[in-house]
Amino acid sequence: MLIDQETCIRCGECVFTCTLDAIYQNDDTVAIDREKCVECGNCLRVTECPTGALQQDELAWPRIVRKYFSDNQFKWPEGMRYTTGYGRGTEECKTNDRTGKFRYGQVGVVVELGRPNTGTYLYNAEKIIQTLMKAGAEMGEKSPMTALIGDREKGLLREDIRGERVLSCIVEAKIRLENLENTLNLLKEASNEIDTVFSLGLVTRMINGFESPIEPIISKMGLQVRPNSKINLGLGKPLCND
Amino acid sequence: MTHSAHRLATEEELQKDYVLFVRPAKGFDDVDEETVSKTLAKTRELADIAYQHGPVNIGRTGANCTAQGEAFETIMCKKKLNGFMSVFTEKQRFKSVLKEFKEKDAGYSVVASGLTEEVFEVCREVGLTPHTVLYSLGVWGKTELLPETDYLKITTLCGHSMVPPKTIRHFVEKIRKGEISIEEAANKIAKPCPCGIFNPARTVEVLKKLSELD
Repeated sequence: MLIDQETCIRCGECVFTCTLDAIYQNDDTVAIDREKCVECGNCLRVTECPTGALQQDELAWPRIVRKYFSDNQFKWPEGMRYTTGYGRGTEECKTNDRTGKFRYGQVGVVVELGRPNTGTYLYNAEKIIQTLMKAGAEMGEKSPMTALIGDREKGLLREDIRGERVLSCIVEAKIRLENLENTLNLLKEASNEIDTVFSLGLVTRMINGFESPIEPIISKMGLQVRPNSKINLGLGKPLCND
Repeated sequence: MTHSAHRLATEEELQKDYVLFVRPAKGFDDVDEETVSKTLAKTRELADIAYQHGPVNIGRTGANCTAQGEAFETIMCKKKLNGFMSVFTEKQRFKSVLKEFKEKDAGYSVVASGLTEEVFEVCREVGLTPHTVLYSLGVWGKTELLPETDYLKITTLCGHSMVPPKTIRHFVEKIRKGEISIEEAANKIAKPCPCGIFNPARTVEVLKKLSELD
């Protein structure tokens, strides 16, 4: 994003629309901190800029990666449109009753970095990818983040995108239930080594609909799940029973 | 929309926040023209059921939502294979929708976000067996960077994090100065979230509290 200084009248109407405080105003100017800006486009959609000074400039690789992750109305390029073509993650548990992505004995690990409201550099995602690989996790296929891994042996992201900043990004993986405790311990360590936050979600198949196989492990570790969750109601057909 | 499991609020507040998604599956419901056509028709039938039970918001990614003032008909006219999202503030309405979805037996994945035990109770009552759950273990890492809890109660209502704390502060100031009503402010705050997952009614409650604080 950019603000054309020739036409900007410094009304400041865009300042409060920025998702990560990248737009600033002082006595002489209203401008965008390009390093902080994640190209989410929120300012352009929400602000009624009276002079059209607020503009989306043409983005090239690797900066455009910011927009793919951050702008929920900007489609990923062909070849990376894994679900709807928008957004940061996959269908995770949403369609699991039909796709069978997560089965009994498996746990989905969904780490959304930069969320809520902090943003993240992609190098933090690399740290989480390496941590999950160390825990023996299988990285989520058909996920934008997995697609940007350059070195699958070492869990390194493509070098050209590591320094890009995004509103949030989701690292998805699958582990065996017996590795859950170790995985959570490793994630705890990793959480001290990143310069942002992440929201952590765990996906599990339910036993007889209402019994969670992961809860005893989480409780034993002294961790707590939040009282709210996201529940696939099992209405899909044909139903995956595995 | 992974984030609907992480909506932050007290248990009391969450009793007025039930999110319902209908989601066709990639590789299943888009394989040929006939399947696509059937998927669109069935999605519409399910959306009609949800709409009849008075959601506080209903919409689709890329097609806008009722909380933005868009007409339901206009939203559903767009041929999109991404299903729809809706929000209910009353458990009874939410239950009625699920009961009808079960009777309809359309075969598409349906996902509910809300208080786990409350949703489970509704499932038992209408005869549904939850298949998979995404549990939230909260926020890890540099949590000192987070905005205050009351702001998070609003920002986490958007599935893509498009509602900034700064926008909320801006409108809280306007409410305090008497320049805008709380309801108008809630609608303005919802503007960056067009997918139908934002709960404007819960936003009003949080804004009431924030605008009373010094």
